[in-house]
Amino acid sequence: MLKENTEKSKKDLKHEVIQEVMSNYSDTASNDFDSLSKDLDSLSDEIESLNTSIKTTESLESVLNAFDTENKYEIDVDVNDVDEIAVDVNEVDEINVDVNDVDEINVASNDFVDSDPVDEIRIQFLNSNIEIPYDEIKSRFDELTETFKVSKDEAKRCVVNYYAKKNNLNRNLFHRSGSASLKKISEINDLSSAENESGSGKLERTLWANVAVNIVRIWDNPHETILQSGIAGDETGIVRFTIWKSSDLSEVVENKSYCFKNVVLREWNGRYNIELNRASSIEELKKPVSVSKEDVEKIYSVDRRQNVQIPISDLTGDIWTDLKVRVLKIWDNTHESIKQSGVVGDETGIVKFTIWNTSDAEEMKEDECYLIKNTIIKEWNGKFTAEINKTSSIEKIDEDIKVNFEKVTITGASVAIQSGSGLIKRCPECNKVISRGFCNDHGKVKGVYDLRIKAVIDDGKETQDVIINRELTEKLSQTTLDEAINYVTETLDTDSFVDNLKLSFIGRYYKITGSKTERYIIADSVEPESFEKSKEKDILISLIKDDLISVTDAGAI
Amino acid sequence: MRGRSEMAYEREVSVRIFAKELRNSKVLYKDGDDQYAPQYLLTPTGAKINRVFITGTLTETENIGTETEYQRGRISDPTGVFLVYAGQYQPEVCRFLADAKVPSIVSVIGKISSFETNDGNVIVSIRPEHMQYIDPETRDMWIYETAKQTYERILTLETDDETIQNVKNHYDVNTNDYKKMVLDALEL
Repeated sequence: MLKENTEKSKKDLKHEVIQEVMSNYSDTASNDFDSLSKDLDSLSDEIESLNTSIKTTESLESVLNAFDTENKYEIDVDVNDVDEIAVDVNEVDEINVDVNDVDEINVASNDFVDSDPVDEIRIQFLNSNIEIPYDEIKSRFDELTETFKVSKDEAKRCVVNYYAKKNNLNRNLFHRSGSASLKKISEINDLSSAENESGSGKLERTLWANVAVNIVRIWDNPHETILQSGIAGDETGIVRFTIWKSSDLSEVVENKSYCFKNVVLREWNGRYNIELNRASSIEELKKPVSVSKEDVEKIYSVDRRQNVQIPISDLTGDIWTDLKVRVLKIWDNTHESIKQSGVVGDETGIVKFTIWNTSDAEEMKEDECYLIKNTIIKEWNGKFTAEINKTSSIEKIDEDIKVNFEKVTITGASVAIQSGSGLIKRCPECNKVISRGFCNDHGKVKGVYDLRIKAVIDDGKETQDVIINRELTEKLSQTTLDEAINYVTETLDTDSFVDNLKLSFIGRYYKITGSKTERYIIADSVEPESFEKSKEKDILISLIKDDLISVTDAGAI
Repeated sequence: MRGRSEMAYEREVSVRIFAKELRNSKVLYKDGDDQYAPQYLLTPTGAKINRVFITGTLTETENIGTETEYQRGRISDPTGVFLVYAGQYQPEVCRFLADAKVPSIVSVIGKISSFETNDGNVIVSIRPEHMQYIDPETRDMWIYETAKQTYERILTLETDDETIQNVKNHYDVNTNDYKKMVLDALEL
């Protein structure tokens, strides 16, 4: 065992030394042996520090002692080696290859044990012919991890960036050499399930990989920081990919095969997706990567699926469906990636819609009826939007769809009457409420009188705005529209009419049934809530009594 | 997806609370550092109140203003007394109180108002937005509703729910006392 260790370390040391000398001499191509021997002196110092790193293996002090003497010997031998190298330039290539091997060994070991990140950094820079003392890196690294409590990955990144900047090197060069190995898609997908099983949560280390894939599908891209996203696959499975705009990569094309190098595997919702960033690269492959038919079928079946039509009141988030609707309202367009948005309705309710610019669908017109095929329902803050994208279609239909709003019933105390209640005037053209004889859309008009109440109903837990129409307002205030007009024109006092309305309406309980819109309930009926709670009251009384008795019993015991 | 202007305004709920619990409430706090952030009163059963809806019997009104009219009303519920104050900034309620029949059954929607005395006591009153006569049935409904919602708060208080940790930090509540209060209110 001891001997093995020594042998291995000896080999390593020899490597190091050769490498050192190579890096110093391959540039200058100087064969001056005087300076060479000077360098060897400093190299022996270097070896001293290497000993320290060897300590991290399992060698004991005795082994180290044995080393010291061996090292001396090694240096002597190395002089010959150096000589050889200087003479035979061909060997340079070979040694470089060896260095790469060392790197690979390091990389491989990452997956199993905690390799020394300081040494990793040192070797990375050594590959770029930059020598940084181990201790210097270590103290910088330790300060970050110990004093500043930075994670090891982040600390490594910081240190690498620091030295890269100091030496005017592109730092991506270093991060690029992360532990990327060629992975099959099934391996990536297995990561997700393996992690779920172990329940260990996120892996701390950023996972890098190279993959050879065929682009199965490129999605419509609504986000400006993303260059492209979609689905890629190989013969073992399919995976989502995202190419960030910041990567400066060129776009990929559907049905072509590529090798994605140095991609990040990022966990999202329990699945790993692949992301291409600045450190990544793309190479088109001449030999196509095949994707299993089943997987392709899975994706395309989404497009070709015959959706069931779901009534609007039954919609839930994240489902694909067809909708047969009447367009109620088209909104002014606010976003460049949106072609059209507004509100549609059917017999059961209303829902917002958005047609993305990427959709080929024709724009819809207000008050016309349409069959929207394959729209995806997105949920936001408990509200739904039907999104019409590239895979959706819209057909105008001749049916006469009657829109009904969702019916709801609420009970609570009326706690306020808002402005715009009482006697109001409406525009004869558009029926909107006008103020001071002016309609927003039609200018100066002769308004038409109407009565209404905009009330707030409050059940102690939440509030709801309710609009009460003329008929119901007349009933509640026991005043007809004509009486109200007479009252106001005679007294020239609109406020006192509303004040009286407040006194008779606010601070009481009502049961209100009506149509639910985004903000209001448009009331169909407003009934004073009568007190039929005596039974419920008795239940509550006995509940509290039992509660109190059980506590007293427990206390007695 | 709602615009900022819509988000900015969200009406404060009118909390149902009995007079005794309101009187025992001492903890005032604000949500956020904004000077316009609404002020809340944290009650012993863990209600977070800015606005209330109460009913009861108006037993006394008095103009306590010196230069301008400032009306004080005492409203009694089964557990204690609410004090309401209305001045020139609540003209409708001020007028109502000035002419009010006593005793009469009323309901009040109002904002919590409070001041701290020199010895650190917090005196809580109500600044009414609306005040009107109601029938006894409405008051009975209010008692049932307030009993139910108060009891629900008490039961939450008996759990280890994180949301009521703040209450436990400020009040040393014997939940049985409040259960008895609710029971008395219902049986009266």
